[in-house]
Amino acid sequence: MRAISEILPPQSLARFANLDLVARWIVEGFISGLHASPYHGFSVEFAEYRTYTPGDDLRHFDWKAYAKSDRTYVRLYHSETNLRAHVVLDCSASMDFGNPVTKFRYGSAIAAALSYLMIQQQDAVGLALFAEETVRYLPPKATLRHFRDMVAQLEAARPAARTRIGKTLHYLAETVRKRGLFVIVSDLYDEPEAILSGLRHLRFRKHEVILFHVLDHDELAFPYRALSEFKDLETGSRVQVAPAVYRPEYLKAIGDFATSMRRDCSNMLVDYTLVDTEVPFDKVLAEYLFKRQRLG
Amino acid sequence: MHFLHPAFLLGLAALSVPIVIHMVFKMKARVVPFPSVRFLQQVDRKVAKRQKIREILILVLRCLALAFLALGLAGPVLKPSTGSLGSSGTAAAVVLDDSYSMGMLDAEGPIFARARGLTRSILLTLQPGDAACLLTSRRTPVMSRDAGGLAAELEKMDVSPGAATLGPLVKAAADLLRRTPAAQRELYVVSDFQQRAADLQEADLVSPDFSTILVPVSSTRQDNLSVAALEALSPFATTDAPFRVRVVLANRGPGTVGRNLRIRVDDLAVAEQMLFPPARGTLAVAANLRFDRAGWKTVAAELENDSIPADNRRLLPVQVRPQLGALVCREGTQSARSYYLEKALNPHGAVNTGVTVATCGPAALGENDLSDFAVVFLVECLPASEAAGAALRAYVASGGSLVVVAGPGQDPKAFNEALGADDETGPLSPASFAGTSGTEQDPSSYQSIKEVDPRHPIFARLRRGETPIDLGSAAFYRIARVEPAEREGARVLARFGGGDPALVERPFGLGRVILVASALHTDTTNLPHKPGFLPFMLSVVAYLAQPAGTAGVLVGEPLRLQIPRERAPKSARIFRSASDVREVAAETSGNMAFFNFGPAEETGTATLEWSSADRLESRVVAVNVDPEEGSLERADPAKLAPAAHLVRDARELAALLGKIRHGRNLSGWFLALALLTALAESVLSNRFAFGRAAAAAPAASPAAPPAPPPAA
Repeated sequence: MRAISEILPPQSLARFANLDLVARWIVEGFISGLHASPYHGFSVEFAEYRTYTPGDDLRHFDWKAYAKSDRTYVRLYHSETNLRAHVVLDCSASMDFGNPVTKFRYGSAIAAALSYLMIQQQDAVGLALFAEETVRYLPPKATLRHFRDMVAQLEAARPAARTRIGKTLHYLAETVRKRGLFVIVSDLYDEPEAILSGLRHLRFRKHEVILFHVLDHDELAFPYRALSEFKDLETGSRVQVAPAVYRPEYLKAIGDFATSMRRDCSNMLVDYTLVDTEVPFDKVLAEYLFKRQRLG
Repeated sequence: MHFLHPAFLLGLAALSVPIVIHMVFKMKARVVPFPSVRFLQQVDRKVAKRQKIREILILVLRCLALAFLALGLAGPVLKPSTGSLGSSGTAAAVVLDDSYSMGMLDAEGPIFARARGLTRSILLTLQPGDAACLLTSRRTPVMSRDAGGLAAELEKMDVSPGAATLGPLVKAAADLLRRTPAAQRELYVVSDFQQRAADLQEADLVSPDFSTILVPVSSTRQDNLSVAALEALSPFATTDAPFRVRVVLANRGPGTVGRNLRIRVDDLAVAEQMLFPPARGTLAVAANLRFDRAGWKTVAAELENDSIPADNRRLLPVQVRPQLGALVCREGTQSARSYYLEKALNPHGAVNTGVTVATCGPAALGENDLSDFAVVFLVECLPASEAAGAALRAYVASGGSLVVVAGPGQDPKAFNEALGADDETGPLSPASFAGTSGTEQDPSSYQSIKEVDPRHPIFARLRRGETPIDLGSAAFYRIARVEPAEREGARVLARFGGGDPALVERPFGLGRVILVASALHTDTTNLPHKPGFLPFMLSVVAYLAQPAGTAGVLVGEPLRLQIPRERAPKSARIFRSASDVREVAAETSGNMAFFNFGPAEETGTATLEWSSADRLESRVVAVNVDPEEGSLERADPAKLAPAAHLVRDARELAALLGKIRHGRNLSGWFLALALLTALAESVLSNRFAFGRAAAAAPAASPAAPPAPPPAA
């Protein structure tokens, strides 16, 4: 089985305009790499039999069928969803950075793929796009039509304005009463205290939170050489920099920021993942599934 | 400090380039949209000041690198201090060794050509106004400010056949430099530093008044054969008898080398043989020559050309007579007294000495034409008449030779009267007869010859022959006691053991007289029975038969003719070739007249010609090279004067000239500084940290470790 990173590397997102299709490829490629049949959960309502495959949970092994027919089967059930998930995607101006794939495009692909995966697993998923405030909000549903609406919103969105993630999180924490899962995809260019305050609010409402801190490779490595004037995508402020001199201090500063975010998230039981836009989607989906499994 | 290539200083204008680039780039820095500028601003607060200092430092380093590069290419030289001598300019004296050993040939031609090239390079570095002098063995040392003229003169120079040593030239050059006012004085010695020619002391070479530069010019060849000697073994040459010559070859190299030796007589080859002298040794060969005509002949011994051609030829002028007549005058009744002498002069057997002996009585001396004889022997007798005595005096005065054999039986008074002084010419005999000594009956009174003048040609010939002759074994029973007429120029050639003169010589007019203080028969001595008697008598005849004066000289030695004043002409001529004739006037000193023809400059033969009385006299003189100049032994210049500068080739000389003439060249230092500053600039600018991968490496730290793969 080929991994999803081989089928659809992040750099190839630029070539595909149809986010719906991209999401399907990502999910199906990823799932097929993990398991032979991911479309059925193990719930209470029986669905069908399937030939036993080594590695299947023996709790679902049908011993009666084995005794009668001397064949090995496992029983599959239609899963029953009880998860309401929200994908919160940052569409501030700072997300419009990266070449060939911007952080926003990468985040959109993650949002679409996660949404598709959740809907396939009968989970209800909603979408919130934010910049200075929440610009789009789709309440959670578990239908493919809803998925297509989400994809349409994602494709229509354009990164702009400053990041106010704290304000958005507070808004969502107040709006969404029922406990659920929040998958936040952002570059976190807001005041750390505001971010943590928003997260803390979500956690206070008993929501589970997965935070994908998406950064472009150039932000992480700072590979510039020539004397340049760097212009902030959100504020427009400029600073003239000799990259060779600034690089060590810059890397230390951004490293410190990520470390402090990881530590603070960990204290709040928020799953924090730093994502390089050159990193394949497997990592992101694996993180989600890991969390989903813990949620039951 | 000044610059060899000042045009490169224009490169200093390039200093403006990094400044302009720095300012332009500062103004036109590329604008890069970036999301995390807040981190950069955070860093900027920390490193902005440091960055400014770094930028200025980089700019300074770039400017310095360019400046050092431009200065290095411009050839900066540090001029040495001109001292406090009170004058400006350079005075250079170049001692150029032009001895014939400098004509040694190797694959690149004669080493003198190389020496000439090195000398030219010295002269051409002089500036207008500088003084220079070129010293060779043939050039008068005079300072000149026309270096170009000296260089042109240098081009026409070639090796001389001389063997001058370096000492006199170096001393002359040092004196000249000390007399020349200049800020910088330089003494160059361009030579092969042959051991024999390097008669130099460190004090001669090194002085606080001038800088000394030794420029050895050497060849890799280690072979050279020389004709070290060509000498006559026969006492004289006649058309009747064979003339025996000896050739000595010297091998100067460390290996045995074969060469063809050819002997010529007046350019006609008469003998040829391949010879192999041993390494660093000599080989002597003898040859018999026959002359079919009388006159002056030139015998030449020649080797095939080798590394040093000049010493491959040697000349020997030979006067060939139809016959050599000797007149033996003795009492007619006492022929036994001259028996042994006559037999010695011409044994008439297998040995042909070439001497024709005639005899006569004392009375017949005036009747014979004595000029037909080369030598007259007066054996224990005296001229019988005044006419005979006058004829004898005239014969000797006109160039004839007389041997007076003083027998102990002669009357001393009669002897002294007959051969003593007369009013005009002085005594004919070189010594007066004082009596006798010893008796035949008393062996204790016997005497032998104990002391001889080894430099006199008579004894020198006896010593250098194939078998050295020693007369000391002969016993003399009775001898004539004589008293040399020293006031008249007589000199004792040999003495008996008791101190009495045995052989005395005196010039008389153009001729010479030799007195033998003993009879030559066996009643008074056993000398006639000794093997040395015949060679001794022939050596006496050979000496007397040759014209007085120089028979051969080496290059550089003076060519001189000496004639008694009363017979001397006003002038004499020297012929080197048909077109090279020179006449010199006589210089008188005492009773002799001298003709100085100057030093011999070229090898070959020269004919000296003068009128004497009513005859035209001539003599051929050979001018040969000093064979020792062909030696391959070289002195180590570094040991001659450790304090002097020593340069081994043209490149080292050029470097040294540049250093002492122009100063110390700092190009290398400046270029090295340019490289160092460029390297420092590169390090400071992180030019070596190329590529994204290297820059990305530190970025691993902020990224979290990947999560473990979840179970589905």
